Amino acid sequence: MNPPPPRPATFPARRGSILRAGAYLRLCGLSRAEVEKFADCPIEELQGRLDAWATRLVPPEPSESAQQHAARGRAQLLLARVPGRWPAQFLDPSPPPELAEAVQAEALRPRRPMRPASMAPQDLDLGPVSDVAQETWRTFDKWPVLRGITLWLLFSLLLLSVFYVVRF
Amino acid sequence: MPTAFQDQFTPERMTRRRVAVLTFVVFVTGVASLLMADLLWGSPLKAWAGLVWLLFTLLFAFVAFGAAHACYGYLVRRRRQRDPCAIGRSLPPGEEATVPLARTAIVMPVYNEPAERIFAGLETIYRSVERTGQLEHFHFFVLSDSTGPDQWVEEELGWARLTSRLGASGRLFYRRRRVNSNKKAGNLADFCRRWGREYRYMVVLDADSIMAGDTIVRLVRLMERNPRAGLIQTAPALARARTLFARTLQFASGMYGPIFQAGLNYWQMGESNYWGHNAIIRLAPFIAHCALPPLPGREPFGGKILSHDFVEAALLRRAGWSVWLAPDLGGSYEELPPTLIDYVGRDRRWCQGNLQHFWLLFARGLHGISRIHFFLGIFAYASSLLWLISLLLGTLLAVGFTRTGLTWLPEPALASLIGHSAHWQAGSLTVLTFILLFLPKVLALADRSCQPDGLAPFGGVGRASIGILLETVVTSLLAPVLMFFHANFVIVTLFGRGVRWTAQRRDGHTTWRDAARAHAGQTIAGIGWLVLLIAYAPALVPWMAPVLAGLLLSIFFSQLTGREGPGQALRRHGLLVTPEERAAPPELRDLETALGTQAAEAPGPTMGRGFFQAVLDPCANALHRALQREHPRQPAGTRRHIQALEEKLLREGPGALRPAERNFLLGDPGAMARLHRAVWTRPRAGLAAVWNQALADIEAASWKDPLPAAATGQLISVPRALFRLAPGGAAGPL
Repeated sequence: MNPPPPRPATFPARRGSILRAGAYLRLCGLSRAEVEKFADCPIEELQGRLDAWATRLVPPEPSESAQQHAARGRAQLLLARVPGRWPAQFLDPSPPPELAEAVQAEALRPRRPMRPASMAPQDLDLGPVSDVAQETWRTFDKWPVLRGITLWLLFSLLLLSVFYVVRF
Repeated sequence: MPTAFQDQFTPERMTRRRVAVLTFVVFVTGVASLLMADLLWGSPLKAWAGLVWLLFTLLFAFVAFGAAHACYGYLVRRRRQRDPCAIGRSLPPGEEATVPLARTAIVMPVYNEPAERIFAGLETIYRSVERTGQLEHFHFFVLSDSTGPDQWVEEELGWARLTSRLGASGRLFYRRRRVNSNKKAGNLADFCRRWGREYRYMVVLDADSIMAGDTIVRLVRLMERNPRAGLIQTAPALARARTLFARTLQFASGMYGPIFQAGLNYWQMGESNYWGHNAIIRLAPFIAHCALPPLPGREPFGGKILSHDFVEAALLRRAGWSVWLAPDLGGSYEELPPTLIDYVGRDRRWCQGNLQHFWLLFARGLHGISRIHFFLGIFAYASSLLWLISLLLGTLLAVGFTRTGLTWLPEPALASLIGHSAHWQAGSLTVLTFILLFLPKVLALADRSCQPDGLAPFGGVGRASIGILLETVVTSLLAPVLMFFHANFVIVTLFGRGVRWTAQRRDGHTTWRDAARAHAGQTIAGIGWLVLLIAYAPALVPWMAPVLAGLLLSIFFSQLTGREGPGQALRRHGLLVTPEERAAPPELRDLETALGTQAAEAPGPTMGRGFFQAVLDPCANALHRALQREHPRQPAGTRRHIQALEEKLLREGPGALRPAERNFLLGDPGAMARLHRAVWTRPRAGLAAVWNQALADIEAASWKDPLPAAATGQLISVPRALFRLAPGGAAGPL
């Protein structure tokens, strides 16, 4: 997990940071009254606390990095609508068991464990007509001039036909 | 022990039915062809007349084949016991409970479709299956091939929200392919390779599919009851059309569909076809036999197979598995492209896919009926080119006759044997053609009238009849336009121009500009054709009037039918209504509710959507990161590239990055974590205006009024409730 960035030193910067923290918490679903509890907490610190709390609520999985664990924890607690359902216990070091259960019930399982199967393309004998067509196609690809001549011959034939019909 | 159904479904019966259909087609076409040959016999332009005759015979046979479906379908549906060879008959209603279910995956391959519609549809199907009490046998998979960064994030959010709402963790899965090789067929094959062995069956859906839980459960039981059945295709009803164009086709499908489907099953039985979705597939034979080989040559004619469904059905059949259509199984729905332009866009892909099947026509080992499916698929588009050629030849012949002063209908004709003239014979041939074209409509009307509820689901006798007349007018004007489009598609495909894989638009309308751009060529061709006829063969103008009217009016027609207003006005008057519109089945009602929920959960304008949301929104960001694989050891060059992209995104906004670059960032959870942190912690000077504006709006809204009670506790819906903007751009009431 990345360490939280240092707190802003100047007063306007710190005020801006606190404003943002409030907005961030509101976006997470916390009511305005509860947001005011964190009125002196800058956004940088808040993010760190949120990650720490989330990782406590959600047990880690094998081969999962700290960053991924924090992201999963955050996602689960927000999907469980914890800030809205338990506003008073939000970021509480000892949350009620039902809160933890609700978070763990939101386990993200996008994929099933794989059971690989072999699915090899089928052999298809396309037969003599397709062979001839395929050969013609190849020839045209190889000799674009030949393709051009064939097209112009066909076009000339069409013009001749029109001439014939109109004249005779 | 063979069941009563298996006793009915015998090779002798199959042969008898196919001979009956063939006899109908050959007899009717033979008579018409003879009359036409006789009329052309006296023409001095023998070669041209011969070509016209050949084209006439081919096209007439195609029309007769369609009419044969309607006739036999009507007869089968009028039997007291319906068709004894329909797969549904293998499982009488009383025996359903005795057939156990098996593990089944319900899979929905998607490609840049609107996430709201995907997950609303899936929610509807999930809840419907849940109501059957058999949910434990089913797993649901969204198999995404989406390439758009916004779609990617929206699909993840949609999946997470739906899983949470349904309590479906471990039952509803989402997988996105980074490289979508082999398109939809490859997407499904990838699922089969990863998870196919876990399930006995797979129900394949489209992004706009809806299936009732009862239907899905019954499909599984039908497969269990028929162990040699490899695939059962349902006949989806069209639903949710709004524009005049889509409502007309929806009405036609609802009115005429049942007898055509019964007619298809009449001769195809266990050698039916696969339409790509709303079907159940037995996975073991599908995995063993249906991986598609590439075709010889390159795209568009060769290469990867586009229309995979026909080929998969043929490969299953080749391996000895039967493929069934279940025409009598309800509870299966799909949607239509809303406008003519969207419809032909889809046809463009289908045309190329079907033309590719030329290679398979002569492939060794395929069943004869599979070849017929391939041929019919090709001919469905090639017939437009042939029709156009035959009309052009007819025009040229008429010009030739006028120039040479020769008579059109030389006497004596065959009709003279019964005391009539050649004109009478030509008129009879025209009447016969019209009978074949209109017979299906009459039979469908008669069939519907004989149903227990009669024509009430279509608005009653009067409105249903007016609906048929309206539909006839619209489809008559549509036919020449489609002829031009399809002929063009066939020619450009043959000349090597392929089609891109694009998402199908499922809502929208046609503007005058769209219509003019799409139909300018047809209008000009219509004008030229009319001028030529007036100058050289004015007598032919009335005969060509339906075709010319379609071409000359194509811009107006496309614009008018591509709007919702006329379609909804007709609906208010009870015209072109279908049973699903008159009394929406529970699944379609649930879908509307689910779409409403999806709309309420969508982020507000401040939050932005998709990629923007994944950077800014705490939940979207955390969720997206949690679903990505980590890249612990990135090369230094990649790291530098990512850092440069991050900085550009923060300083210039998402619009400064190409979709591929946004996808690149989305694929790196570390980058997304840094971006989220930076947007929320950086001083304003270091951020693009778009980020600052969004943050300012969020901050302003946050400290105004209390959160509305309705939004409390709905995390994802909070942004919309909080930051809904009034028309003037100010934050609206909270």
